[in-house]
Amino acid sequence: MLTSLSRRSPTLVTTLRIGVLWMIGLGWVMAVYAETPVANRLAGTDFCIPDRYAVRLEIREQADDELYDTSPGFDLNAKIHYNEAAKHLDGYVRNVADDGLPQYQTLYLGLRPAPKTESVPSRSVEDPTSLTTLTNTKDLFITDKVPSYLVPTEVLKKTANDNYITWGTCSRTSHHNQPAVYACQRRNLIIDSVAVEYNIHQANLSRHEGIDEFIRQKFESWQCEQSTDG
Amino acid sequence: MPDHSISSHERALIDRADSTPKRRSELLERFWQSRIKTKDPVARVGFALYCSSLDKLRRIIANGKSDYWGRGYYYWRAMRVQTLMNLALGLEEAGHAGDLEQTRDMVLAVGIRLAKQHIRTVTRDIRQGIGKTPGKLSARQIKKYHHQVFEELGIPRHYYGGTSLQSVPDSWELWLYGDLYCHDCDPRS
Repeated sequence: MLTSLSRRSPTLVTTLRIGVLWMIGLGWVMAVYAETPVANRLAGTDFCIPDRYAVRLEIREQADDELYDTSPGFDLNAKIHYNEAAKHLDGYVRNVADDGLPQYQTLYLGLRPAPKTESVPSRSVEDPTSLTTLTNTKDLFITDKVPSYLVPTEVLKKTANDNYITWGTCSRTSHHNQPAVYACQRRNLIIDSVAVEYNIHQANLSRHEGIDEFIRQKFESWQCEQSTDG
Repeated sequence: MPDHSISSHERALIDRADSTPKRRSELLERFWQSRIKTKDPVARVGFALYCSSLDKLRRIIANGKSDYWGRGYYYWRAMRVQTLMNLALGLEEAGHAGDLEQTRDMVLAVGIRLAKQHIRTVTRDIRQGIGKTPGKLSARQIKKYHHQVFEELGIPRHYYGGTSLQSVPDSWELWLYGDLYCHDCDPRS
């Protein structure tokens, strides 16, 4: 049929052929594009989060919208799957559930531009004996002896030169008449121009320094010019 | 300006709901009803989802402030159905399939986890002075803690907000559903 059509209307057949080739080419380009990890740059930084780690927030921000202001945060957060964390962190507890549903410990990284001050300032402690060591740690202390249910309590970290810095917060999540269980939020992890925060359950608190280091290494591999960790 | 802080009564409601699974539905409803009084932007969908009857939802919206509810009863009723469907499908995709009663229990358990994260986020917001209104969350904060809870359960993120269809671009969902959670959220942070 194509042969007889080409005799009668060669221009139409050529056009059809070009059209088919063009569609195949377009399909190939789309397929390649879909498989290529898109590096998502954190605006104003040298970090590009590979697609498989990036969490797009899609927050609507319009300067002329009275309900919304411009935001100092990024439109991206990041997450590191719990299996990857467990592979790199010896003894990392993947699931800390106690209510029948799982509670997988994927590291969800909240990202925002770091404050102008270069390092986390020291925190003065008048009476270090008033501090309580946090379960599973040697260097983290809570400032409140009996934290209330779901009230974030400041957590201090003792540094090598016996100073204290604010590490983050912990909240008691166990209900009344039960042994205290804490869910914590690491704050003030400054990596170049990015401030990182993440949630960490009590079961993984003993690995908090390893987790910080692991996140730093991920960011090193996420520098835009070498972002191959996709 | 309303006080957005979490009261000790609200904490006690979630504490009790956590420890008494049989009363979860009732206590979650009471928690979100209490949050409505503080004009908490998340409370609208929280209450729509966990209220025990549609009549109650209709009454609360009819007697509430129109600038808070924004849209009427039929909108929030539709959002209740959409959110329940998203949660049920998300749980199933995460491997937590069950019969109707088991699914209901799981939805309530997720509700407790979200309420706990909400309380912690609101309290932190006040203590750290995030945004311009203490205790009022931004869309970013709300989205983040939902992501965290969904990640913990293994539920794909696209089940939070909007439709449950992954193929629908987020920007379209935001256009369609963006105001659902946040038409009067704190814009900063």
